[in-house]
Amino acid sequence: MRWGMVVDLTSCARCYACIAACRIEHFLPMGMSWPRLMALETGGDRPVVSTYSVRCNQCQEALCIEVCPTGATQQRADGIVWVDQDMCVGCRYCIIACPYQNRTFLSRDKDKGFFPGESLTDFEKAGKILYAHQVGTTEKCNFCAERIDAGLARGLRPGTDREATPACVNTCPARALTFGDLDDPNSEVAGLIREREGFQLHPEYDTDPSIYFIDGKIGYADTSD
Amino acid sequence: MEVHEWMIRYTRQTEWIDRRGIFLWIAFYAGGLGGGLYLVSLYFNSLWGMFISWLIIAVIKGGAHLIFLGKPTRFWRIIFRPQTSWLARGLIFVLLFVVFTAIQLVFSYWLPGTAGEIVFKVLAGIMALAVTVYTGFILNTVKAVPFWNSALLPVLFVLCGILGGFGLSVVIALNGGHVDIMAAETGSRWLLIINALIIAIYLWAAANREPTGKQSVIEQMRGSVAPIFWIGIVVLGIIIPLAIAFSSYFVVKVESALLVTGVACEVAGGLALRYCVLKAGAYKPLVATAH
Amino acid sequence: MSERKIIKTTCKSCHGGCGVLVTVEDGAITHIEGNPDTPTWGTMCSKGLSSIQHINHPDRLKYPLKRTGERGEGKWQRISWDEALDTIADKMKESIEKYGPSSIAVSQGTGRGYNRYTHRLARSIGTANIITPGYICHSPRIGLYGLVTGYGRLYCDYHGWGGEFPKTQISWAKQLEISSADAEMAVWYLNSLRHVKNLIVVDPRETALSSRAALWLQIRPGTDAALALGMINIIINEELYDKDFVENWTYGFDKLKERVQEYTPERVAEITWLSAEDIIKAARAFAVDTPGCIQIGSSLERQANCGQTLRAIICLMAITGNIERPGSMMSWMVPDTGLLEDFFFEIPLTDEMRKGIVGSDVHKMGAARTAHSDSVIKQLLNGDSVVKVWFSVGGQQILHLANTNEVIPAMLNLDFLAHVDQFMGPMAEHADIVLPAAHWLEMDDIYNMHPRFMIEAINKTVDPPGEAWPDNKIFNELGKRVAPQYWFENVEAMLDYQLRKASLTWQEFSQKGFLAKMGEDQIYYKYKTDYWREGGGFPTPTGKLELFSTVLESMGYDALPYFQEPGESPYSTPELAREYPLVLSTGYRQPFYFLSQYRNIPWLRSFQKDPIVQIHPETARKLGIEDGDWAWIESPRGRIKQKARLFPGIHPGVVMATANCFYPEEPGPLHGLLTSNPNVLTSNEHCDPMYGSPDLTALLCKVYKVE
Ligand SMILES: Nc1nc2c(c(=O)[nH]1)N[C@H]1C(S)=C(S)[C@@H](COP(=O)(O)OP(=O)(O)OC[C@H]3O[C@@H](n4cnc5c(=O)[nH]c(N)nc54)[C@H](O)[C@@H]3O)O[C@H]1N2
Ligand SMILES: Nc1nc2c(c(=O)[nH]1)N[C@H]1C(S)=C(S)[C@@H](COP(=O)(O)OP(=O)(O)OC[C@H]3O[C@@H](n4cnc5c(=O)[nH]c(N)nc54)[C@H](O)[C@@H]3O)O[C@H]1N2
Ligand code: SF4
Ligand code: SF4
Ligand code: SF4
Ligand code: SF4
Ligand code: SF4
Ligand SMILES: [Mo]
Repeated sequence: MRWGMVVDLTSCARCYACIAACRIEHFLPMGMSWPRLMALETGGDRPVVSTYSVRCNQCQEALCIEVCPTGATQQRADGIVWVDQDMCVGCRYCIIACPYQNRTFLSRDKDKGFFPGESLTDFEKAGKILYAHQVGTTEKCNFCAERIDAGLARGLRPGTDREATPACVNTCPARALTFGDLDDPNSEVAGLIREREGFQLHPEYDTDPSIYFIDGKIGYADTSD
Repeated sequence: MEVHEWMIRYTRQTEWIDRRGIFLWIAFYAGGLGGGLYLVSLYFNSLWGMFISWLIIAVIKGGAHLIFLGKPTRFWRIIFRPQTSWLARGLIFVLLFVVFTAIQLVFSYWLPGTAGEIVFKVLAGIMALAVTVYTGFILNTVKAVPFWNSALLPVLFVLCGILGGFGLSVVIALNGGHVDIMAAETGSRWLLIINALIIAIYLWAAANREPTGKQSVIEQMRGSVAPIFWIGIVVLGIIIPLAIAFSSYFVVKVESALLVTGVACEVAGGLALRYCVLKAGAYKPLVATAH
Repeated sequence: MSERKIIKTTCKSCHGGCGVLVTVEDGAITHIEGNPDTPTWGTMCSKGLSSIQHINHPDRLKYPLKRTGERGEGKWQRISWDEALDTIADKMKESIEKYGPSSIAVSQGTGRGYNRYTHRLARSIGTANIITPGYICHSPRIGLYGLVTGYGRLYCDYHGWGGEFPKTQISWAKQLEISSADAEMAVWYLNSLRHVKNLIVVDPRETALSSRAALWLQIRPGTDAALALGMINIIINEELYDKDFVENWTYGFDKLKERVQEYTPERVAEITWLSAEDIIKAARAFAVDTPGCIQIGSSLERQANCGQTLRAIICLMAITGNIERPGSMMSWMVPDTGLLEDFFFEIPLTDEMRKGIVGSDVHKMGAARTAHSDSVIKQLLNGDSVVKVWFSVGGQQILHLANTNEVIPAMLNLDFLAHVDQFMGPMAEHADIVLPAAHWLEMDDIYNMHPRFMIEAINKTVDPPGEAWPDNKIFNELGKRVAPQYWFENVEAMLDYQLRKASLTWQEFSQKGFLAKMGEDQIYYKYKTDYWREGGGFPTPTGKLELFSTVLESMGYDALPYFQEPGESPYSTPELAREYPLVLSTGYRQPFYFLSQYRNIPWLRSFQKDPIVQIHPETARKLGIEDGDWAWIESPRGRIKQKARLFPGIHPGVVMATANCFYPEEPGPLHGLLTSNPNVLTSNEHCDPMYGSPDLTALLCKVYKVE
């Protein structure tokens, strides 16, 4: 079992919902963003703009794990790379080493509250209890491991059942994000990668990301339905 | 940075140089300098030099790195994964250096000439070299930053450290320390030339290997760090030392003051170099534009 | 043990409609996500989700306020609701006494779910001077669809309820994928694209979908009528039109055929800056690969030729038979409650009310039920204003109307202005009384979804801050003071009343969540049934879909569509174009803002701090502007600055400025509204004859770097 995601560049509507959903799901401090949107513009006669919804790739050969001196960054059997916030010393080596720039150091100025100088909002107060962040450590997307685990414990299937599926995937109005088991050839993600030539970012680093991207034209030749 | 601007183009690493990252820069340089000084001091058998190098590494290097950490009280956790992480190895080198050198100093002071002193000199010397070189490996192994992906980087860092070491020895010698000033001068003369050449080769190679590395070099030459690059690296680090070194080749005896100036310039150049190397380290764009 | 409950509600952080699950623990919201058991499948956008930062915002208005200093001076005193509402009611009554009911204007911004209350309040008072941005937003479409379908709403059939999805879709001046003007529709639209064969995007600018579309027509702003007429020309001359539909169900085909002859592909190509081949390709695809639909965007309504542009596009839909067919343009049947707008339609417009409408003498289509805003402004400016007292609920007319330099002094000429809002924005700053409004997470109401086949329940999840009230309560309590016979004991009674035809109480509906007519409940081909007209046909004077509009003819308008250059363009004003060489378009919705809203929501602001003007890299190079530079944009009316984004996706001759922006963090009363808001540049001189819509998306400008 290896959790993976497919991002469909063809349908992404650049709505930023994935980012907002993650912020809420994990009570992210103001200066923190685990997923991000990146626009790639190419000029020429027919300019093409692609928007990549990116987040930690949960690399199978993760460079961040390799360099982490404390062992705070670890990989689970299901492929999820996560950071044990209690072990991290905040050396930021992993930030330097991640070729995809998917890690962020939670410095004090990133955690000044939604409204600096004002008292915390109810949501922030709840977050301090439900999902405490540690200033001085490094964070990144964890594929919503909490959701996956809680869902699996209830017999749900990540990628199929909402409550076991990452928040960003659930909220995406374009259905540009698909989640599932890369090892299962019958999963939707495996099918998309196979049929629509999924590609990983920077394959030359041999990191083997668990996130694939697909791209294409909107429309189809066969009109049967 | 706004979310949508992220990695559209050339993006610098910032964590290890901007804002608090400045401490890491100091730690990196202090490591090289301290290690280099220890090696030079071994050569000259300068107890003062050894002691000062111990101070530099234990206090400046260790202190700066500690301040840089997000969770300084957990610093001891850094040693757990030496099998893959150069940072873990580095801390181990530093700790061992501090311990070995302390023991060596005790031996040298109270029990000079014993086997113990020699053993610990060798051990501390190895650690000093390791401390000098490891930061080069830290950067050199970061795959995504082409500017750092150069085998020259560790060599450069060691040379820089040793050179700085020579420089400090000269200063120690002038203050009556136990250093042969002539030898120190000769050593630094040659090192100056080699070092300046390696810097030049390093930059030239980075600029010609690959587009992002080239961007890094261009950024240095034209961007916000340009003054540091031109004054620090080029003038202080390359031109002046080279000029002094060459002139000393023709003029038989150079004013030692001039030599000290050359060394000081080289030290400043070394600091500037480490700064620029960190500052201009840029990632390859997330997606190749060709896609 | 803490108390934790999940409340189902409906988001309206934009025009609204997404089903939401809100987790509330001990009275505080700890989580928001989409509700999977609603027709929006559990999806939500960044705006709706970021409501979490909205509700607890420290700048929320919490108490009714009364102005104590000069207008716009920013001196306020807290007062009670009774005092506030009594004052407003007294001002209204006084004005009615002195000048008649038409001297009262009731205004709102874009649809925020209370349109029917705005209209009911106005009508109950006896005025039809309702000020809304409808005429530059959505109303022209509805009005002109109304000429052929009776009540006026045609929507793309994205649902496949009739067994077919659209095979060709034209996204025409529209970013439905993020603007969802018709809200909940983005998710259905995006889903329908999985079934589309040809996606055609008509836009001067690259959009999220144009790069991947089969065809992207990068049109010159303001020339869409020419494109539509050119496509009709091709379809008719190549005999690709739907002969059965045209022969049996339309009126005036021959006249249309004659009219479009002058719009040859070559001439249209010249006008629109497109290639003749692309125009032909688009026309053929739309005519051949049916069913198809056209998603019209409101950029077409922000033009002084909007009436005829929309008429042309409707004719294009009609001659291809893309009306009422599964997968084409549909007029949806409404749920059992009936049309919620009956809530105000039931108070009829009297002749006196009609006569009192400002602008009704000129813009006979637009100012038939609501006032023409720009005429109101002109009158106020000239000192001969019909409108004296203005009750404004959630709209920033002061920045959303054309030509800000006239709007601001005009507003200062009002006798009295009351404004209801959640924040102290520029409009509130100019008011005499400010009332605090609740957020959708803090209220009970019925949400009326744009295509009207569904209504949804907005259920209160937490208390509003301070003494803020839901808008519906404010309308009701004020209504009770000025026209008690039309208003209700309390909000619940008012909601019960609106649901009565479905035999539901508010309590029941609130539990149910939504009420809809979907799938098999919808009837296609209504013109073949008695639905609109006994024996079939359309509810028009001729009984046919009028390609040649007898109604417009009787009102004195051209009954056939035509193209007209924008008021300012390289061709209509070549002199001006020498000084202002670039075509300026304003608008283009940002996914994380809603008009001028949300720049004070930190999460949303983090996506784009400053308003952005898109400019082609080559054009920018010539002007010495680099990516990220601040650039002045200047028109004959004034200049603003925005941050330049060098964008290869925009036509080199066009610049696109972000509309509706001010800086909430900057000091009042203007909050930087003159700094970057493009309406400083727009003109209220050339307006559409039918609707009065000014040119907001097709003007001239020059651009230069801010030094
Ligand atoms: N140049 C140019 N001008 C344009 C446009 C353009 O594209 N270009 N677009 C036009 C269009 S289509 C429109 S619709 C208008 C939009 O114009 P408006 O609807 O006026 O939009 P906003 O500026 O967002 O102002 C809305 C106000 O309502 C408040 N508000 C939000 N929700 C609520 C609520 O639930 N209750 C209450 N009481 N208040 C609330 C907000 O805080 C804000 O102050 O602008 C028009 N103007
Ligand atoms: N996220 C978000 N959603 C919104 C809003 C918001 O502010 N934010 N605003 C809401 C409101 S009030 C409205 S009215 C709707 C509007 O929603 P849309 O109708 O989608 O309006 P825009 O995004 O302003 O413009 C759509 C496209 O028209 C293009 N365009 C501009 N001028 C022309 C022209 O002359 N011809 C053609 N063919 N294209 C042109 C623009 O480049 C743009 O891509 O969105 C609503 N939804
Ligand atoms: S993307 Fe970066 S942070 Fe994530 S696993 Fe790969 S290397 Fe580590
Ligand atoms: S910052 Fe934390 S997670 Fe990253 S390498 Fe250092 S200890 Fe490991
Ligand atoms: S998978 Fe979860 S943690 Fe990762 S970006 Fe999406 S919402 Fe955030
Ligand atoms: S939520 Fe989906 S459509 Fe929106 S930006 Fe993210 S990936 Fe794209
Ligand atoms: S699209 Fe509109 S209704 Fe849906 S979540 Fe976003 S703001 Fe709310
Ligand atoms: Mo609008």
